[in-house]
Amino acid sequence: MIRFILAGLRQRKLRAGLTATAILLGVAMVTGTLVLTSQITRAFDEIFQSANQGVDVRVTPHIDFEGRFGSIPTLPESFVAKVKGIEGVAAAAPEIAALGSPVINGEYVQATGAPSFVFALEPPPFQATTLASGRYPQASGEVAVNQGLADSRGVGIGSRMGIATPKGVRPVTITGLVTFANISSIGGATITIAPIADVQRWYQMEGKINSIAVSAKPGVSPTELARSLAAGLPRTVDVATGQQDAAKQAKRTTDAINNFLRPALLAFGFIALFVGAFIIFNTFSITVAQRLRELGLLRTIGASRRQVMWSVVGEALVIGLVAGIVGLAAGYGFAWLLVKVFDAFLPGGIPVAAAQLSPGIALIALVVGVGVTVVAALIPAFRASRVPPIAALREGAEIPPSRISRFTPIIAGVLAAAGVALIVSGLTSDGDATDRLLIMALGSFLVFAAIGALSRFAVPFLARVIGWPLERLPGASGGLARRNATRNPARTAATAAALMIGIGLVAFVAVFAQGLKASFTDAIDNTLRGDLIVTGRSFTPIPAGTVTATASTPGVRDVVAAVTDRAKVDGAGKAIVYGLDPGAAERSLGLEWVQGSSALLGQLNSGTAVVESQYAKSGNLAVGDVIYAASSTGKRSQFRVTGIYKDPDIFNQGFIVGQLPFQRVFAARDPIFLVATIDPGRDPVAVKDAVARSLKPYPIAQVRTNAEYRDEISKQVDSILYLLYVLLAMSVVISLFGIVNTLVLSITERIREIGMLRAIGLTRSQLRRMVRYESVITSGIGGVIGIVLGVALAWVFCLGLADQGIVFRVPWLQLVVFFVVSIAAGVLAAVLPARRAARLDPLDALHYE
Amino acid sequence: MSTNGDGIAVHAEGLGRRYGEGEAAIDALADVTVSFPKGQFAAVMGPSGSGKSTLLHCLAGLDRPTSGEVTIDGTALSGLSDRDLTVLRRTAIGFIFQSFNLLPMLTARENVELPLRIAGRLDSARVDATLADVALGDRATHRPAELSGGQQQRVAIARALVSHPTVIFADEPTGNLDSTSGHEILNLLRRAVDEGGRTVVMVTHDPRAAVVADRVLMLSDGRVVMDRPGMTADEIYDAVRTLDSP
Repeated sequence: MIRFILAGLRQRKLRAGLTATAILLGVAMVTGTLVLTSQITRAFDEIFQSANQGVDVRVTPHIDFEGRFGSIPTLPESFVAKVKGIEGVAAAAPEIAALGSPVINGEYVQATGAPSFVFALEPPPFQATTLASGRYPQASGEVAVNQGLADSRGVGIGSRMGIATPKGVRPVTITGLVTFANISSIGGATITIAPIADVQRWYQMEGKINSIAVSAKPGVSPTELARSLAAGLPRTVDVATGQQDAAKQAKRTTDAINNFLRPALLAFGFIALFVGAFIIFNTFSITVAQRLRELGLLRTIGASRRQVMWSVVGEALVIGLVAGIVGLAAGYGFAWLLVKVFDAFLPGGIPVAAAQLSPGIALIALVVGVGVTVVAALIPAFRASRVPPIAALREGAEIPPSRISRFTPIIAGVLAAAGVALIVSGLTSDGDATDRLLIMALGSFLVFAAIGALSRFAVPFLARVIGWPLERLPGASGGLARRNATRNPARTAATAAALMIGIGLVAFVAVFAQGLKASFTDAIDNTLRGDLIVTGRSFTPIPAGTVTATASTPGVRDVVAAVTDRAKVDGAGKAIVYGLDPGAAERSLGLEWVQGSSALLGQLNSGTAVVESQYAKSGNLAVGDVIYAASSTGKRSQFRVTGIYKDPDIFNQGFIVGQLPFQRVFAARDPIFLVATIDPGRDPVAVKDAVARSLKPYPIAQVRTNAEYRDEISKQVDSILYLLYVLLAMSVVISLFGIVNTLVLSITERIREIGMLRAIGLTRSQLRRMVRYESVITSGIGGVIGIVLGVALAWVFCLGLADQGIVFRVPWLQLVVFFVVSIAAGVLAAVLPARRAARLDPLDALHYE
Repeated sequence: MSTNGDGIAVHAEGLGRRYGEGEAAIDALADVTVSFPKGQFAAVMGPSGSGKSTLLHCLAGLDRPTSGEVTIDGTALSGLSDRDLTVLRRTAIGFIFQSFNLLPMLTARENVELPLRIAGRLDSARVDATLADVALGDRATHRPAELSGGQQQRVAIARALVSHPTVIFADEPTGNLDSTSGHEILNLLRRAVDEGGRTVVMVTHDPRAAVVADRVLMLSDGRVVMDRPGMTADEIYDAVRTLDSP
């Protein structure tokens, strides 16, 4: 049996190769993702472990949950003396880590998404960086910066620059250049090291620090020291060994990256695999149908049904194995490619350890490759086993139709209904977001599968519509192509289905993104009635000084500063709390009120709160209830609910209180954004420029008009959208292989017909055209069904998410582009098969056995 | 209708077809010179391996001879590109195979129209007339799967006739048919020659089919060993028997 399988594969090398490629690409994506995330995890482990080399134990303040964005909790500096007094401590040093960007030649240095750190200098053995040149700062006003910053901005020892702190830009001089664990720059992040007194002054942390690094006396292990410190220090601090602390920090960093990256990339990998599986199923179905005589022959010479079935499964196994092995290698290539992409978009890139051949990943690649291929081939293999021996002798023998094939439409209908039900339940349930997403994804999958099964009924109609312009062209190729496509609607539908999945997902994403963009822009237009918006770059908080700077600019009438923090509310979970100036808020905000009016905003300083409707629903809060809230530092307060508003986009996931009560409980002082209204009759752009000048001491702040801000958000959604398109494109490419495969197979099937056509006068180019048109009709069908399905699915999702503010908008132009892409895919897929068909010698073709 | 003066539909001059090289070379055809005048029904016979099918393929332009020349209605095939050859097959040559003549997903009518459509010159009236000639008017909308073997071959003949070709080549047209259907087919071909003025060159191994022809050629080992007009069935049987026994 094995020899039979291998001989068969050798004979059909091209088909086997195309089939293997379909799975291979999916395996590569999955493998590449796992390799990349492992590289990232290991890199950060190395970084943090080596950074913590001199630190045996670290003492940090105890927090219940993460406070406001960017804030790092503090310890009193006096704890350092306390620590030094504990048995076993050799040395202890205060540590401060803050965020502050360098300002070079008046220009603010902030790479996309990468933070800019400011560290207090620590005495050896604690200093985590390695001095590359110069010396560490000693006097006030001196700093050391990372090599990457020096290289990319052309500064060096002796250069003067600024540090953007909450109180403005501070001038400093560079005295040394450092590297961090042998890496000069991590994704564009910058490091500035300054004397601790300077750092405390800049960040208003006099007498406060963020953590304490401790080294142990010889003979004392870090674990023992940690235990003594924990015993000797109050409950307000956490004590961990250097290794534990490094592991925790590494995990936090890699989680932030990988928890987003891994599921996203894997999702696309799985989509690619699903499409590949589909192609395997289709290909094997066709070849079984073509090899009826051969399979019948096997049975006549005594092979059992099971042996015939295993011969097909065996073929799938070999193909899957090859796909797994090559896919594994390709996966490493894919990971390498991704690293290069990151390098291109983030200066310095993301740190990655060298790629390792991990047996775990190799095993996954093989299991996935073999598993998907074999499972996909099971049904065709089963059908092969049902070929009767008589098929060897008879022309035109057929596989007896399976008993369940009659019920296919009913089963498909049930699946579709189940899928829609799952989607709806996922949208309306209150559960955890990831669970809901999974349920909806499963539901969508069922709907796709059901529509795919039913699509064969649409083939004749769609083939006629899409083929209509082709048939009008002179020559018989168009008509022949359409009839060829309609000959076996099930097979055409199955081939088209692979493309349907890819294009359908693309269409879904496009419509959904359009709705997302529209909801954001609508929200900006309606809620923020102001004319100017001031934000920090990369959504970091802006210094409080910007409020007065903006308000005092001539032409500005009102400024609403949105200061936010996080609170834990009894019985309602975590919330975002917005502290607004009541008067300005009442005048400048246009909230959509479910209960109440903007007058309530004016009364917020009396200790009341207005709650966002989604949060009110999930937390069971109504007007008249009292919110008992605790901040991240433990301070508690209560607010009476006087109104409920609807705003899923901006003041969302929580409630608004007045500035004064806010400041009593929450530590955050720096607003996330400012909304400014201008005096009537003034030119917005002129006032915007004036505000920009006033904000010069705060380079982190950017001012834009409403319209400019809207466009910027639109563009950001677009860039994510294009990234998704690129990832989905992989599925489209794979489905191309499916079409090529099917075409090659059906040409083999029709060799005698092709010979006859050539004999009665069809030229080679007419034949090529016929193949091309057939391919275009097939891919066109896949595109049309995919687009309709994608839009319909997006409609369901948008409907369910309507109260989150997502609207349903159809990007018509993009849909047309997608259809054109599907046609182009058909043309591309036809190149190889058309050439093969045209190369046939009519005589050989006529006598093909 | 002849378009050149000397009324020769197909002429082969010194035709040779060699397979392989050197010592392993086989001459399927060796130095065959033969002429088929217009309006003649010729049968080509011979045992298997005699080269009769090879001769037909070379004459029809489906195979290129290794030596010699084929001329159809005055046009030499050797000088033609593949494209020109193909066009010639549309307009000047009709071909009938033993089996698998028709496209299964087209109706009988659509199958007959095919050569005209390929040329971009559909003439419905002519199609109707041709279908009537082969007495298939009532089955024109049926697909091949719904037609008997004899009816399918009639469709094939109609298709071969529809472009009014200079010559019709038939490769064992009755090979897969029972005797009644076979007779029908041969009668149709005969009528195409007598009433339609066509030229037919038919390869067959069946003496009962060959007797319908005006002239019978016998091939053996790639050469023409007999070429006689107006043979009776018995004469043909004797000739075949002589050839079959060495």
